[in-house]
Amino acid sequence: MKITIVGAGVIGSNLAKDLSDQNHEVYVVEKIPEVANKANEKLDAKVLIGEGSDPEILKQAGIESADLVIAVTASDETNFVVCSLADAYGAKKKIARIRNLPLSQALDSFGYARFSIDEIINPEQVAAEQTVKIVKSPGSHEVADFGDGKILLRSFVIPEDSPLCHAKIEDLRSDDSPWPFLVIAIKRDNSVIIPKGDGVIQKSDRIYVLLPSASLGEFLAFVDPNARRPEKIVIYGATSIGEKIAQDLIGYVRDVLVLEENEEQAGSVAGKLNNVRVINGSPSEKEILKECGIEAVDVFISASDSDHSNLVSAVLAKKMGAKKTIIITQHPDYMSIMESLGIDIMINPRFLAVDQILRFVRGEGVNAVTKIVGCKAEALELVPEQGSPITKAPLKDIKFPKESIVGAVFRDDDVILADGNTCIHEGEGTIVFCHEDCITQLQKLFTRKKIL
Amino acid sequence: MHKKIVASIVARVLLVVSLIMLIPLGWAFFDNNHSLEVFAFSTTILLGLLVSVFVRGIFPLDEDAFEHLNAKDGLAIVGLSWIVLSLFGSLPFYLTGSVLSFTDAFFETVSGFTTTGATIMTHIEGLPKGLLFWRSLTHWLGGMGIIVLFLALLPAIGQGAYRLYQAETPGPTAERAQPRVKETAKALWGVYFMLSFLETLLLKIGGMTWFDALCHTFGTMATGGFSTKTASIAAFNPFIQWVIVVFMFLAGTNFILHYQAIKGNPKTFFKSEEFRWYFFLVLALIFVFTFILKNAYGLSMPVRTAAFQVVSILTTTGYVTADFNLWPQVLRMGLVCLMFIGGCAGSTGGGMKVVRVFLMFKVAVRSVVQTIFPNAVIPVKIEGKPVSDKIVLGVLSFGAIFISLFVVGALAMAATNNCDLQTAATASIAALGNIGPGLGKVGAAENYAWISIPGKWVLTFLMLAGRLELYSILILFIPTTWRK
Repeated sequence: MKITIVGAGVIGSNLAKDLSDQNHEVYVVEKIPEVANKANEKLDAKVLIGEGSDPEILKQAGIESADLVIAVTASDETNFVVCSLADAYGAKKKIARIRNLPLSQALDSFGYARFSIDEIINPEQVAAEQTVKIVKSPGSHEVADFGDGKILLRSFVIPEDSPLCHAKIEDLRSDDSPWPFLVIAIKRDNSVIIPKGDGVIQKSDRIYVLLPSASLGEFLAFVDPNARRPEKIVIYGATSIGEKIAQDLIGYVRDVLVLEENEEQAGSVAGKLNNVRVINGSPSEKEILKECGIEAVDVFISASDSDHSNLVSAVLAKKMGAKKTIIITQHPDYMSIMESLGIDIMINPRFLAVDQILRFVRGEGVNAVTKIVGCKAEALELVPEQGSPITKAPLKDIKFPKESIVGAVFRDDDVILADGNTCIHEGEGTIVFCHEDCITQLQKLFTRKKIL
Repeated sequence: MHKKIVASIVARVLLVVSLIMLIPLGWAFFDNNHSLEVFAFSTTILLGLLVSVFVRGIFPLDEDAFEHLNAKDGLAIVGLSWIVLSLFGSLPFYLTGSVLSFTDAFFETVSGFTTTGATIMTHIEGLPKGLLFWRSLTHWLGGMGIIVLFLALLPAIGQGAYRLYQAETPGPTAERAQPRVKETAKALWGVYFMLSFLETLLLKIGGMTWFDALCHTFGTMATGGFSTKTASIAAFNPFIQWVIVVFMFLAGTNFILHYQAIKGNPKTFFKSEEFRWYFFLVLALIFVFTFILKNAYGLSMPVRTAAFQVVSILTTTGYVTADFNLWPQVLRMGLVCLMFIGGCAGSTGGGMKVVRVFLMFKVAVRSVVQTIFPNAVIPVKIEGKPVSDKIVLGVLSFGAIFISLFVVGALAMAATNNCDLQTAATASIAALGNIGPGLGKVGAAENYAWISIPGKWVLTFLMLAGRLELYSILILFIPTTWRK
């Protein structure tokens, strides 16, 4: 595929890297020369220096014959113009990043097509949604939804007193379980295991479980008897992300507090949101955190615009008694220090955006991709072609790559958790999990052999 | 330096070149009379394959190893590859006994790969065919670049590819013809191959044997200069000489421009500021040389001679049709100046490159103007666009190192050889600029056989540094390169 990416920021450059690794022909347009030069050295892609709204540059970046144009500059307006120009020059598919929430909602209501945009991504919105999902699944660290939210992927750290501790995998796969679920991966001491029937879950394993959305509540209580619904949360930062999280959690959580340093912003958010306590002050001051009653807080969410303040306030909140901390950060390299600082969950809107765009690109027959376990494994939604190997026998008779597992099958508006006897038919969306090394091998099972 | 990755890639490059050596082996085999030659090539190929497989065996790489490749590794890979290949490439010369010492064999091979064309052979016609073919083939491989060939042929190595491409492609910045480095490398080699094919055909039509046509095509397209005749191109007819003039000129042009022209956009030639300088410089010089040769030197029809020698020296090919050592002083000095300039960026030519020279000229003009208007803001421009200070600084540093190496080289030549100043100085620039012939005792009708062993090593170093644009070779002498 020929792909033009406008904007070489964190999203643009990560996309360009992933896409050129997948053998696509990638052009990148960036207006800041230093950023462009860095991208040029790092990427196997052609980097052009210039404004994204400059037709001459866009033409040089192959926009006239591009299969996909991705506009991810910092400016919504530029992204908008890039897509319009791309459409006029004849590019096939256009994706724009639109961060302004009211704008993207307006575009949504008119239909994107009218604005010559095929997909809109809003990293901040996705990050907010992701955060809300995590808060609503107490005990869970990573979350992903499939099939319009019909089937959920959640991860849990297993405590000593959980009924799942010391349980054997094959015993869990019985049909008469009240809440059907499937353990699809175990993270133990930094390695990822795709469990076999004789595997045993141990204490402090992080398990990845696939379950229908209806049974989430019961399952949460089952997996960790001590886990309870959060009652009090603090959101630091009255940003668009913070505001959206607060809005979505009112009603689910008893007390929602929003902390904001800027008096004006604090006032504005207090005016907009009902049933939320807005406190004006800096979370890096102990007094302010005490005022929030930090020792009784179940979840502390850092969602301000400053990566540094987010990090510092989350560490401080944890130290003063907050049970769980989530930080939202744009910084690409914080992931590696997260654990040593005692932060429970890190959400990076830009990485989420990269994942989201990759889903549009990942070839035919792939509906959705989600990276899990710190990007070491992927969850894919694949659709088998007619006559592909996977449709020929029940799952237990098919030879799978070692580090992979079939999770669930969508059949006639229903979701079936897979076991050895399940047969997959053509056209049925199938959720599979695999180690990143065996993605291509796995994809072969879902495609018909092409005879030249 | 990531020694494992570096060693493994160098081994892969060696594999490619060992396989290419099957071609001269074939030639030697069908030439038949020289069984020693067949033995020499087979031994070298076997040794190359064995070493390659062995090194890759002790340094197995996982797939994402190339992700760790940094700028230093890229340069080191290119520098070391060229040294290792030259070592292996010199074995056939040594094993056949065609040269007396290993120094000579190594000198001749480096001269080949770096497209210098300086030879230590005194009687070229006496060499066996396979060896002569290999000697010219080293030109052709080194011209467009062995690493670039490697990038084009073998599976993509991902992000490290651009670093390798950049380290081998001459010029201040390495342009991409295609977004992917692998495709760019394919495109460049494709154009190179097409032009070479065309030239071979024309030379054959002009009356050369297929063997001579191929060898001289390799020498021309790579701006090398090895001939199969001791008399060089003077041994051939005017038609052939004109064909070679044209193709030397094309080889001294940025190959990205050729690629775009073939893609249906021939206007890009004159859009390129570097090409304009190069083109008009050549025209002006041919005119001046013709005028002086006719009036002061008394040649009756000097256009061909002037054109041939100007293009040959400016593009750093080094073919000769006349002994310019005997020409008027002003022309001899003029040719020496051209040796410093060289071809265009992205061409197979050597020297400092036209773009760097006119950039330095513009910077010089700017600094003079700025003494008059101390607060003037004067961007240095190429094709109407300002060039970043980083690139300007890079070009100036390159110029400084280039001139220093030339001076040190000339000094070392004077110290290690019993020769005059002119010979020492022009031998230094002829090696550093990858030209081949200089003046005096290394002039057009002479060769490098008489130079002392230390002198040959000095020149070998200069040739490698010149072809790889200094840094790839220089960093090998810095201890930090070898540390983790």
